[in-house]
Amino acid sequence: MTSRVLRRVLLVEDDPDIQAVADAALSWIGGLEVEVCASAKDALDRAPAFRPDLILLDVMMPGMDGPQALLALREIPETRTTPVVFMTARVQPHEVARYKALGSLDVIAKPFEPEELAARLRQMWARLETRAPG
Amino acid sequence: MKARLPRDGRAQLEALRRAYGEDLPRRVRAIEEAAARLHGAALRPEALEAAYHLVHRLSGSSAIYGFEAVRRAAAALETRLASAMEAGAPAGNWEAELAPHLEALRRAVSAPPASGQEK
Repeated sequence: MTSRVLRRVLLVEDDPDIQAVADAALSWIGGLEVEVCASAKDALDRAPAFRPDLILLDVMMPGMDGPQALLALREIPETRTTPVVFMTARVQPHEVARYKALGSLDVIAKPFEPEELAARLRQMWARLETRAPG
Repeated sequence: MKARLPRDGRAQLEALRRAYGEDLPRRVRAIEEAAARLHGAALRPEALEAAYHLVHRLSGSSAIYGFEAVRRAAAALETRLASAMEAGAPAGNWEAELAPHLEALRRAVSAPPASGQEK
């Protein structure tokens, strides 16, 4: 059974418009505590102090992209095992398989429905908690 | 399945959508200005990339905010610009090439959605 509740989400997205609507969807509608980062570097700097339960990570960002950020997050003790969900418009089966092979929990396809975003993350979280040992 | 949404959250989201919709003409003007910089004898790759970046962002965000007609017009323009980038920014009559796409974008932005937005 699920033992922990999803509360804190680190949102990493460089587009201010998508940032705003995803933040609103997760916090106002989903009741989650959200820390918004505009870049992978920002996320790497702020994740250790925020200690998110889950990281929602855009794939295509200037500079360090999502997959590179995931690898860097795995080098930080506080986020070594934090579940990461990618957000991307590139959701061909081979692309999704690649993201999962990199270690992402799942993928949210863009465009997403803001009203459903938090619920979808909670479903992914519940799946993860259900299969976690102990 | 639609989640039951907190009333305040839904209102806040609608306010964001309205603000985004009101700002769309400014975004289209920025794209028109970027497209205008593509005209001339030589198509500069950096100018093409700048235009593509603006259109790509509009295409992605308009879909999430529920402006489907804007998304369609932006996506068509995005595809055209992407193919030009892949072809190495070839010279051509870009003014004529892009004009129908820009017109479609202007029409999509100026057409009033059925209920404030298209969702």
